[in-house]
Amino acid sequence: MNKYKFVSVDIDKCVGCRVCEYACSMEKNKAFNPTRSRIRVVRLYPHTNAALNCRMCQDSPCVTACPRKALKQSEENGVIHVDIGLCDGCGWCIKVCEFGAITLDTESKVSICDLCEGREGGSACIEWCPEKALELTTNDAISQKARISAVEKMAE
Amino acid sequence: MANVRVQYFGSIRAAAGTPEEETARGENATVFQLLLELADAYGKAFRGEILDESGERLRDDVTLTVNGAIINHSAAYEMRLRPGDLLALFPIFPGGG
Amino acid sequence: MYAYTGKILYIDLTTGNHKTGRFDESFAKDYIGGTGFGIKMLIDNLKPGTDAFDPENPLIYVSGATTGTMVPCTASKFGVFAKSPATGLLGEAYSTGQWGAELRATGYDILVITGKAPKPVYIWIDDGAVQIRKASHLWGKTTWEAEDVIRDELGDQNIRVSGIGQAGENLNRLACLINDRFRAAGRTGLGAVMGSKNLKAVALRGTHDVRVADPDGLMDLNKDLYERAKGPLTAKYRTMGTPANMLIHNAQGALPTRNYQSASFDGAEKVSGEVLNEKYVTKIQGCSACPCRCEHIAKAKSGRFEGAASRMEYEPMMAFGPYCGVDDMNAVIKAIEFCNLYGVDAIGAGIVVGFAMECYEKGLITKDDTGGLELRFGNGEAMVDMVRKMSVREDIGDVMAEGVMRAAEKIGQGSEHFAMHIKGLELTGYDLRGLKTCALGYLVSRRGGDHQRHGSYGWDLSGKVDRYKAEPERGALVMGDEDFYCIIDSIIICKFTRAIWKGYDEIAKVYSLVTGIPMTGGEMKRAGERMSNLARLFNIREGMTRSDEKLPARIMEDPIPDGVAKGAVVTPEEVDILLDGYFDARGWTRQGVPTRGKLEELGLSAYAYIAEGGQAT
Repeated sequence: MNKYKFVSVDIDKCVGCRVCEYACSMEKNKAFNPTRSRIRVVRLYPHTNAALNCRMCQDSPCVTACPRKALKQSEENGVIHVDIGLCDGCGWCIKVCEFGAITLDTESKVSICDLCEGREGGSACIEWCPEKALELTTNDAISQKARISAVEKMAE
Repeated sequence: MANVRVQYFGSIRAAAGTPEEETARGENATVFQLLLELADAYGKAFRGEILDESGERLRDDVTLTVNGAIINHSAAYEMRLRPGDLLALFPIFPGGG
Repeated sequence: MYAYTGKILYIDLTTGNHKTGRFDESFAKDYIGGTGFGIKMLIDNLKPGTDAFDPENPLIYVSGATTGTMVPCTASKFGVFAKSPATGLLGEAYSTGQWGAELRATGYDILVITGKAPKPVYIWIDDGAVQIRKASHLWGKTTWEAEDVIRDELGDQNIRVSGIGQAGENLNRLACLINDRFRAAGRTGLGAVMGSKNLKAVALRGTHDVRVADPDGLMDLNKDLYERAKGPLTAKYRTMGTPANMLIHNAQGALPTRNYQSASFDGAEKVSGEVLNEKYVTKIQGCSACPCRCEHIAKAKSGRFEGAASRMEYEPMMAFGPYCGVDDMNAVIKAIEFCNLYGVDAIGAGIVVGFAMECYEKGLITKDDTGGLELRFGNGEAMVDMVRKMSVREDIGDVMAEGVMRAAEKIGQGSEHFAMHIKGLELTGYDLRGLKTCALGYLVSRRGGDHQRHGSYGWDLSGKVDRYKAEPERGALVMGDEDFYCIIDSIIICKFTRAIWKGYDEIAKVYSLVTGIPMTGGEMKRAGERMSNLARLFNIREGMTRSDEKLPARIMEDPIPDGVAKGAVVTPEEVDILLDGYFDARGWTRQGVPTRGKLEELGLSAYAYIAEGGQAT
C-alpha cells in the first residue's frame, strides 16, 4: 500500500500564476527564483496550466539511475534526499524522471521536493497557492476519490 | 403605489443574482438605508461589493445613480427615495483595462 | 542593493556591440523603477528633436522596483520607453505576464537599445550573455510564430519573448510589443520603433536569484497583502472582469459608440461582459505571482471566426464592439486576436477602424480605397480585415497605419473633426463629454489621449464631483492621481490591485522591505511628482506647448445626442478652465511649463534649461 504523501495539483484549478514557484524558492533558498523551485509550472497555450513536483514514486527511477548512489528515498515518507557530496550533477536522474520533478540547482546540483520537512505549517506551496489548487494527498486517496466519483455517476 | 426599482451592474449584479428588481424596501428610507437592507438580504459577497471593510460606509469605487444622475456618496446618507425612483449600482474599475 | 541588479545593458544594433553600465542607490531612490527609470533614461539618452524612426531613438526596457519578487501582482511588470512615432512625444507602455520577471533574473534592470541592424535580428539575453542573432527567417511572421521559432531554435520552451509582428515591421504607428501571447506593451507605437531598428524581438532566459532585504518581514506582510488581493476589493476583476464596463458605461452614457457619434450602443448586450463570460470565456488564468488572476481567455464560437482566441478586456472590446458599431462577439474576439498576432495596439486599432468607417460612410474613402471592403459601421468582417490591412499597409491600410491624426491630415475633407486623438494618441473607452475630470486627465496625460496615467474618471463616476462641470479644482485631483499612478507604474503594481494598498506609506514600507533602501510615504509622493515634472520637461523639449493640449473637435462641438448624458460637451472655454486649474495646482506657468522653483524643489535643476528654453550645457 503506497502511503507516501505528495503535493498534487488539480489541473482545473491551477491558473499558472507561479506563486508556488516563488514561495518554494523563498522557503528553500531565501531568494525568489522560479528556476530553483522544486515545484514547476507548465503553461500550454491557450489556457492549460499545471504545477508539477515529486510524486514520491514507490519504486523511484531516479534513485535507481544514480550512478553514484547519491539519492536515497526515505522509507518513512518517500522523500528523496540528495547527498550533495556524492552528486556530481550528471543529470541521469533528471533523464529518467517522467515528471521533470528532479531538477538542476545552482547550489545543490539537483534538488527535489522534500515536502518542506521541518517547516511549521507544512508545504509552502500549498499554503500560498491562491487558488487552493494544490493538496497533500496519497495515490490511495486519489484512486479512492476516482472510485467514489465513478459510482456517483453510475448511480445518477 | 409604485415601489422603488433597483438595477445592478457588473460584479454587484453577480452578487445580487439579478439585474433588476422592484422593492418595497426603499419606502421612506434613505438610499444608504436601502443599501444596508439589500446587503442584509443578499449576503457577504454583495455587502463586500458595495460597503467598505467597516461595513458602515460605501466603497469609494462604486457609482450610485438615482434616475440616471450620479449622486455623491454623502448625498446617499440623506437622500430619500420616492416611489417610482430608479436606483442603479455600478462598480468602478480603477486602472481601466 | 537588494532586488535591483543595478545593471544597465546598452546594445548598439548598428555595430552589434554591447556594454554594461550601472546605477546606484541614489538613482534607484529618486526614480524607483518603471516610470521613473524610463523617463530618466529616455531624457538622458535621446538627443532633442530625434525622429522616432531614427536609429538613435533608444528603445528602453525597464524593470519595476519589486519586479521578480513575490509582492502581489508586481512580479512580471515592466515598462518600455522611446520617442513615440505616434505623438513625437513620450512613448511609454507597460506589460506583464512572464517577461518582466525574467528580465531581472538575467541580471539586468534596464536595456537601452540603439542603432539599426543592417538585416533583421533578434536579441538573445541568456543570464549575463548577450547575442545578436539572425532574424531574417522570422521577418514576416506573427508574434506567436516568431516566439515558437525562437524557443525551438534555442531549445527552451520557457524562454520569454517580447517582440513585434508584421505591424511593427511595417512601421505602423500603433504597432506594439507582444509578450507571452496575450500581453502587450500596447500604446504609443513602440513596436514600430523596434521595427525601425530591424529588430524582431528581445528573448530572455534568466536564472539569477532575486534577493530582498528583509525576506521574513516581506513574507509576513505578503500574507496580509495576498488575502486582500483575493478579497472583495478585487472580486470584480476575478469574476466578470473589466468587460463588465460595457453595460456599465452604456447605462451611464459613457460608452464611445460609432467613432463617438453616440455614448450608448443598442448592441451593447450582445458584446457585454455578461455574454462574454457566459458563452465565450474558456478559462481565467493569472500572471506571474499574482493571487488575483484575472486573465479572461475567450474563444470565438461560430461563423467565419470560430476558434479565434484572445484575452479579453473592456477597452479592446469597446474599440471593436460599439466603437465600430459591431455587435458580433466572434468578430470582436477575432479582431483582438489579430492585434495580438500582427502586434498592434488593440485599443487604438479599433479607434482607427472606427474613424475609417466614418470616412467610408461619408464617402471620403471608397471601395477602391478599401480593396473592396464594405467598411461600414457594424460590418464585423470588414473590421477584422481592416486590422490586417493596417498591419501590412495594404490599400487604405497604408494611410490608416499612420493613426487617425495623420490619416485625417491626408484625407482632409473635414475628417479632422472626427479624428479622435489627443496629441496623436487615439482616445480610449470613456466618453469625455460627460466626464470632465476624466477629460482633463486625458488632456494632460503625458503620452497623449489616455486613461492609464490618471484614472480620473473615478472622481466623475463616484459622484465626488459633478461629472458635467469643468472647475479649476479638478486640477489638483488629476495631479494627485497622476503622481500616485507614477508610483504605481514605478514599483510596478498592477492597477487592478491598487485598491489593496493603503496609500504611499504602505507602498514605501514594501519598497524598503524589498530593496533595503529607506523610504517614507512622503518621499515616495515626491518621487511621483518628480516623474510627472520630468516627463513634462521631456515633452516640452520635444516641442509640445499648451496649444497641443486640446480635445478632438467632436468632443468640443458635438454634444452627446442621446441617453443619460444627452447634451454633454466640453467647450474650449471649459478646456481652458481645466488646464489653468491643473497648471496652477502643479505650480507650473499658465503655459504649462514647470517653474525653476518647482524643479529645484524636486531635485531637477539640471533640467531647468528646458523650462527656460535653453540648451543643455
